[in-house]
Amino acid sequence: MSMKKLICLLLTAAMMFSLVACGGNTTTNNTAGNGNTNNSGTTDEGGDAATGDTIRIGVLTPLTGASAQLGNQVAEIYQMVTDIINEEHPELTMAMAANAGIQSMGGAKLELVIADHKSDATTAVSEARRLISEENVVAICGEFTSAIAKAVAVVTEQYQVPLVASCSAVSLTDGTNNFQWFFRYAITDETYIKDTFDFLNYLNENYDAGIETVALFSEDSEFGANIVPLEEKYAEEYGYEIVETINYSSSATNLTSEVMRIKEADPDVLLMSSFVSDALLFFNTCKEQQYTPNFIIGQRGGFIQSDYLTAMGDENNYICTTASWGSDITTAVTQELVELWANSEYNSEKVALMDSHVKDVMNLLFIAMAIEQAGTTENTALREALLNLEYDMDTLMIPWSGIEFNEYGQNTKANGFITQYYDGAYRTVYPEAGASMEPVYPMPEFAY
Amino acid sequence: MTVFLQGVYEGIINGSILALIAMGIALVWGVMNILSFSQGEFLMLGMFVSYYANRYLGLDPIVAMPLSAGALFLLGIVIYKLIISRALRGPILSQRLITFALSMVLVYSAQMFFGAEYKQLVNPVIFSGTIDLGFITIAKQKLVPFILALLVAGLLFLFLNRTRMGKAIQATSMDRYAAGLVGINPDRSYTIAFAMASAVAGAAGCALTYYYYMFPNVGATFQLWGFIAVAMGGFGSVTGAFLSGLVMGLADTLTGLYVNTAIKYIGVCVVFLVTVSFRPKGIFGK
Repeated sequence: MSMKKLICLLLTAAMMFSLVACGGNTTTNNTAGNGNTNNSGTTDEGGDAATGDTIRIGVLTPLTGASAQLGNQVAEIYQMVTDIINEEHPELTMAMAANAGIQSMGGAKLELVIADHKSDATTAVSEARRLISEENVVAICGEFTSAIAKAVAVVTEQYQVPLVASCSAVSLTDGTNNFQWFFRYAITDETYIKDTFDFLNYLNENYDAGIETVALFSEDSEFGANIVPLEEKYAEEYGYEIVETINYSSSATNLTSEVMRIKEADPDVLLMSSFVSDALLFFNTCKEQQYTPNFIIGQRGGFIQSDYLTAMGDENNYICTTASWGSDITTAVTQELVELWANSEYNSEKVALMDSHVKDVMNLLFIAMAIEQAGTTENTALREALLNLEYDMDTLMIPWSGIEFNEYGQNTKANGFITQYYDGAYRTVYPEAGASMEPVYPMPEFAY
Repeated sequence: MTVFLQGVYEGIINGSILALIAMGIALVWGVMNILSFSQGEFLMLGMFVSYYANRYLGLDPIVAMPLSAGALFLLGIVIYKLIISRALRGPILSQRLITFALSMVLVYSAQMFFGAEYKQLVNPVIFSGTIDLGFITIAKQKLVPFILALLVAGLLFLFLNRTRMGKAIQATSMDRYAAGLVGINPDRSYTIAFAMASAVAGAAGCALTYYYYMFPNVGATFQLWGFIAVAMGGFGSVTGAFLSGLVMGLADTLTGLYVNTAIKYIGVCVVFLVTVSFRPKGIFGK
């Protein structure tokens, strides 16, 4: 074969591979029994949700596209936890670990059907529809932005299948959409933002921080757009002056004018709602402009993702973010999961356990608990079980005050934390009761 | 006044990357009449060459620049010979879509080989830090794309107007068949033009890594603005693409600074719309 033909062949193969990557990507993982993932790469013919000894749960996560790294990590930790649920682990504290499979259904095993939503709402909708109508999943969970969850919720409402997600937009559970099959155990932006301003008061009262002004720096999609009105509401309520409000596109080619305006306003505290890419660009631009914000509090998003932390390294020191979980939570079940994940064969990148992982994996655990308590996968029974979940907080990785749903599918007992990055990890600084270090205010200057 | 001067400076600097992308697109369009949707992906490949050269060899992006431009030049030749030259014999739609398909292949291949996560340079670089002139602050790393854009614009102008090969490319762009009749090899002209456009993107990618993160889809972010710069400058005009890129950078930064950051891209689009309203073929379009 001539070199020219060989190159042609290789390019064709590369193109076909890419087209496969572009198309629907489903992996069926039944990890019961042997502890190894069976990646069939195809899906079985449709059938009952809980035929024989397996119960199918749909996992929608970005395996490709801009958030692929987090999406793949979530898929991996889901597989690890599914293994734990499907096998007997009496030595573990985690809920559903002690027995093998769903006891109320004769030890039925969980089977994950993982689909790639590519961080694209249109793809997410078609994949959700396919998971329900062709793969017969009994519930859907995964890694969602609020915009994607909202799009998928329309499908799960239509099919009356539970969707359990931990994205934070208030509009998902404020009655605007009247979703009946959407469940959120985690906290909303409202709680995160309230925590943020409570923290500012705490800094003023306990550390004489003298904080009077804030600036809002928010990307302009569903994520940031939902947060800004809340920040404005609480700033007014708590008496902080907003000296600048910046809305920007997270795919901007530059953030020069945005940083120049923030620098001019020079707020005491900068509140950022950013993804990974724009947060990195913001800090690079700050250094170019020889500007260090006095103090930064991020609203999760990019601030808690591993590629952001890897890229920032020690330069992320003293930057704060709101959080719903922290690796310094000292409960046995939390430390158990930290260790399990650190040593798991599924943890292909050997990343540390993070807020996003835990929030998402809790949703899978809640679905398993609900099936166990319902004793069936019938949708209305499962819905009732999810709303009235019986739990032992000592077996859950996030120590909330409790689980109690309002009429819109929102857990009203969840609570959050403020963490500050120091020496390679985010550490809880507020509330004081859960703090593992004292907050450092203001931030030291960046190295220009 | 200081803020205004800083804004003007930053606008020109931001526009220089758009100018670099646009000049590559303009070159391919002007010579081959093909809209190169893969120009952004060549930029992305240049960024990854810079990243890995920095990570594993400790090279500064400016040192990796010849390596990246050379690698992309060769890749441009291979792609032209294997894909583009064949598509040129097909229907117009195929010619238009072939570079789009190529861009998809490059994005997903990059995702497969380099990973989807965001990356930044890991080792220290020569051009870092700032120079404070009192009235403006100059970030050293952002001077690189600006100087590169000036160099590329100058060299392309000289190459196209002062060298035999450049004149042959220009002749081919005017009339492929007439050029063939006077002894010019049109296929060779096309190959060189496509490879040069790829090399420019490769060098631009290196310059961009000084301050921008990289990931497989990064090209799309810049490419759209590159197309607008080409349309504004006049399809096929390298000089027009260069100047339009700078004007767009200025419109972007000054709108964000003095009107509202949320609508800074509206400012860019208004400048574009006004330009094509008065000059439908762009500033230098014929």
